Amino acid sequence: MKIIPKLVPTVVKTVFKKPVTEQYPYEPPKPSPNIRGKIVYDVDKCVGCGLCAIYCPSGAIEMIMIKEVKRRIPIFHLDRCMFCHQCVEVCRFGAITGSREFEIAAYNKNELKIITPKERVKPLKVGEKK
Amino acid sequence: MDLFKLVEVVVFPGLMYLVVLAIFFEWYKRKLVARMQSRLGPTYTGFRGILQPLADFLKLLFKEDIEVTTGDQKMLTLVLLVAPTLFIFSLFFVPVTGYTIFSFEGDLLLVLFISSIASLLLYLVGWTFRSSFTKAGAARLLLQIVGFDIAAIALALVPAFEAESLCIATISEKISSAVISNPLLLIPHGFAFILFLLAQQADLEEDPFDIPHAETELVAGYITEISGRKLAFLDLFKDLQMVYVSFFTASLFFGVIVKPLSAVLVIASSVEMFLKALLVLFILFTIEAASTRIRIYNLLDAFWKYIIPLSFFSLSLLFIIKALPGVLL
Repeated sequence: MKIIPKLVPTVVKTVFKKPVTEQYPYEPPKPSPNIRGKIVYDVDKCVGCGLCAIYCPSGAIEMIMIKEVKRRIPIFHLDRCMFCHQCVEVCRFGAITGSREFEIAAYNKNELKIITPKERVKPLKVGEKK
Repeated sequence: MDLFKLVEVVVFPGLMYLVVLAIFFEWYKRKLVARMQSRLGPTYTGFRGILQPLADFLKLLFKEDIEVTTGDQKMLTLVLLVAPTLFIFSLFFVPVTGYTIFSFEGDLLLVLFISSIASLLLYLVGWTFRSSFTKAGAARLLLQIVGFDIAAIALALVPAFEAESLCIATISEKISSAVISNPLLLIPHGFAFILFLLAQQADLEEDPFDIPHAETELVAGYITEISGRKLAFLDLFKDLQMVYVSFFTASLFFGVIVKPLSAVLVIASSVEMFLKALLVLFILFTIEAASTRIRIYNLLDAFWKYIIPLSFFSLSLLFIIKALPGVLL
């Protein structure tokens, strides 16, 4: 009972403040700065070492061979991804980066694959320094 | 009864105006308590959700009327039809628009009596069912009524003695000049105002006095078994009670300053009374948002040990201040 008079000024002040409620579907979302969202893959920086596929705990990264240019690139299956960002940590070439995008629900699993088009994949120059 | 009086009773400031006010106050309560708790409150229906209470009321009216076989349904229907009309009837004596539709010397006692009867009818709502939740809620309600009603009646007499009248219209006219002419009266007046607000808070069953329908213990207390149209009328009853409490307190303790002599002045004084009622409700809802429920023992302790003696103390303080000039001269 003693706390009631102490709370009254706080309660009256709160009336004139903005409510903390976010009406999310009607307003743009405000994700936390540390959120681990959808990963972004840059094929030009990738060397196809496959470390990301080895480290991925949920097996969401599949390495495929592209015969035309004789190099391997990863395919990301976001339906299996648990957004731990181990691949981001382990990639020493900076080819995989994280983003804050989290609205990635889809009706079809195939929409959740990050597949690089074959035309974008250029042959690796062996011995070139990055 | 002439036609003008009939229009007054049915349209303005009678039945329709009071029901509109009841629906508005329900929205005001939800929005204000939500903002006090840093929530949004109703937003969807109408401008900032202002039509939400009306939508809820209409939705409940269209729902199926489920009758519990162990309950006395005829009694319940009668109670729920009579109870809202009691508050509307007692509001005819309260200057909602600055003037009253009916008025006679002694109507303060009638209004206090009617509001007590209305609270007792709520007890009958719980007592008509053979459910343990409603029984417990009704028993608690009865204990609570016994606690606050004596204090409320004693405190309502404070402005009556200040204005030296038992007519609510006369009290609301004279109270401001009576207090200004003798500033010492402000001490029992303010004292009685705070205690009266607490008693009215218990009448409205808001926190910290929401013991009869304690949600975490009794589901919904005495209203547990009610649904559909009956619940709609019970909600209307609670909203009309809010209108009654706010306007009754405002007219007793703040009075009417703008005299409703012409049509324009009637609008001005009804706006004035409306703002005063909103102020009273703001204080009540601040207490509600800041507090948690107390136990029934604590409520009885608070009322019988402190508030009832303090209300009689403020009444006797008023007598002393009133009699002081006669003794000194």
